[in-house]
Amino acid sequence: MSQRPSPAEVPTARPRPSAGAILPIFLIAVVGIVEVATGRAFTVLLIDPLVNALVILDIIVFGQFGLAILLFTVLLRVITLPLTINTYRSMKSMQAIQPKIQEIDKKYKDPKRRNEERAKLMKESGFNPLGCLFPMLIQIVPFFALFRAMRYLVGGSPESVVGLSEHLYRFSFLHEAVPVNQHFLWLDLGQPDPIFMIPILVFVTTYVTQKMTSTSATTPQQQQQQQMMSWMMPMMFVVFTLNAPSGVGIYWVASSVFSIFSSYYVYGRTLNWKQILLPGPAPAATPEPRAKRVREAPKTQAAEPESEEEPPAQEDGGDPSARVRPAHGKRRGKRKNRR
Amino acid sequence: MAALDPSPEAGAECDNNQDDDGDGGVNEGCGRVGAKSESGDDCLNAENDDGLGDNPDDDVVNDGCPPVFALWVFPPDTKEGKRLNLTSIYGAPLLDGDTVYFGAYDGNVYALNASDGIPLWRFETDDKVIGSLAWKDGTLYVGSTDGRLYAIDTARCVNSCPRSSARIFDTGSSIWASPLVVNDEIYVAAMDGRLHALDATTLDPVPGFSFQTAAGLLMDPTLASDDTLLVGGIDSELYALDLKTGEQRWKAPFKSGNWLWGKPLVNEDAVYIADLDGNVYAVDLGDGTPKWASPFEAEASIRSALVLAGDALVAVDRRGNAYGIDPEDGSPRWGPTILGKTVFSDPLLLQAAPAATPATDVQGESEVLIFAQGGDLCRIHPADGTPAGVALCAKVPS
Repeated sequence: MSQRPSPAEVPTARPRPSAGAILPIFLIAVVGIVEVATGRAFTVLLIDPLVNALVILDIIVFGQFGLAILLFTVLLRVITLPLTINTYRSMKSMQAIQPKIQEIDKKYKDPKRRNEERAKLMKESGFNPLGCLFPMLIQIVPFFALFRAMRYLVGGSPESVVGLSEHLYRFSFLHEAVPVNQHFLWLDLGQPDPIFMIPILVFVTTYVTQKMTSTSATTPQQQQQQQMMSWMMPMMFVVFTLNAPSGVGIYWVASSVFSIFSSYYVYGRTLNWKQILLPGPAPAATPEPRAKRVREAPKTQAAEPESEEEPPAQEDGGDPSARVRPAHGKRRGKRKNRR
Repeated sequence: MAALDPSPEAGAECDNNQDDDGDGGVNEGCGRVGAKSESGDDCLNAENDDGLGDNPDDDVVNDGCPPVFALWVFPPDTKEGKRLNLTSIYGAPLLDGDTVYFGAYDGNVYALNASDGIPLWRFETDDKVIGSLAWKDGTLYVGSTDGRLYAIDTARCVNSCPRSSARIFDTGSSIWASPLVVNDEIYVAAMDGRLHALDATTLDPVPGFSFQTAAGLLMDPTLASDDTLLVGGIDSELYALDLKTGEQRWKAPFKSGNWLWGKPLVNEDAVYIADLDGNVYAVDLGDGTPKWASPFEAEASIRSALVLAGDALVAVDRRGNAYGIDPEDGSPRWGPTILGKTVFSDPLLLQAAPAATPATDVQGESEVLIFAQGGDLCRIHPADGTPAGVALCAKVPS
């Protein structure tokens, strides 16, 4: 008991967002700031090439612009696949060192020292926290660029076509291909999906991707944040796609499906589909035997909400099995207090 | 869609504070008297609003009010009107007798009573209507982005207008430009680059006529002379075609800097045209060669048509910069006058009646009316680009 830090000393008592939670918001903010700051450069370096590339792909797929978007997504993700897989492997190695991180958490009470030891361990294991940026970056940057490009390509209105004339390179074959066919399946690619199928698919695929690529939480706060983010991120993109051209939604769905397959390739057998598909704080990939969790869960996980008075997570760590509260933990303590 | 009063009061009509022209407005278009002028809703009543209070300014009703005001607006601000979502109206309306017709971006063609804006019927196409309509002997021609030209027999449209009331010609592409009726033929420019010449009655293709470019034809086909037709579009080239055969009349088409969309202006032997790079060109109608040493360059793309007002060619770019250009050599006369509004529609030259009394200060001068996105009406003097109204741009009183 003497080793247990007081509530004031517990670093997790002060909510600290996990990297996974703030990354998407951070990236969206960065993309927005870069776009505003670079202004014309953002257009010349990103929007214009994208507009022209999409027109070329549209020519390749015989004027089916919906297919051109899908082809663009697949090409982008295939080209960046080696980097994506490396990133997932790095994240997987992060999960592998979770027990050691928990040991460090137990061993060092001083937050500064604990962070130093954590950083040292990550360095030794070759894990780069910034590497987690990549999968999100390669999805979000084209997402925003595509949103802008769609306004010109399938806006359909005279205003958008005037804009398109300013972004196409001066090759006659590009100009001969416009206006692109903005009808695909039931969709007008320049308009939001009228039957909301695309927003639903955006939610499902983003949710599954989030679950599959999130790292193990080490504290209850991180678990809470992960749980919140697993809903918040998909909801954020759903709200976005409710008002965005459905072509942007098609890109996001296709890209997310690609992420699901590539993360499945990396995490493979350790995936727990039940935990991915059911809402809850548990991480996607778990090195612990599943049977143990299932056995212990009824006894413990139905317990009342976490109290800040006791920081069991500091002892238990983020591993799903470790997160399961021991039978002699909180309840017994409360009874003692009552007496 | 709003119906504006086209004939402002002028001269002595401005001195009597009465609705002399019987359009429901008092002293519309009369100049400012005194230090202040009336504006906005004050222009819609028959009261001397700026002559009231402790410091009366003048004794003239509606001084300084725009020469136009809305007689009616469609869709009306009623329960039924709010159900309609026209999205946008890009084409100019067409007036025939007591009926006004226009196509909307919602894919419908509407027929309204011209006097009060009451809807008579609507005809539904399968996609958006962008261009203006054409009319010949009771038949309304509508091009739709669904690729079809509809020839609507308006006599068969009373309270409703079913598909069976129209003959249809399918171009197999998309139609953005307005159809053009010349004699017994109708010309339809399609986005696959083909110009179709059809019999206006049967919609059968005219034998012996053929013209196709590699890129879409955005520009409205324009009759330049009795036997010459102008077309252009996404390939940035202006073509002069034989009206009967579609053969090119120039040795080579005129090459501009970017897409051609604005309708060309033909004045004697010159064709004035603007591209989406904001360049304004003068082209010799005889051989398609440039008439100016270099094009006039606006700051932004120009979608709207040019207007020749007096001795100035008026151009308005997309960002709302208005320019006066010397039609002889393309040198700037004035401008830019910055309207601060997005402009896509064609400006309108409004000739006012000559001044007959010194009581008003702007009578007898023509104005260029520019309709901006968002419902603003901007008024400038074509001679020097100065504001013709109290404010350069203002919402149309309705």
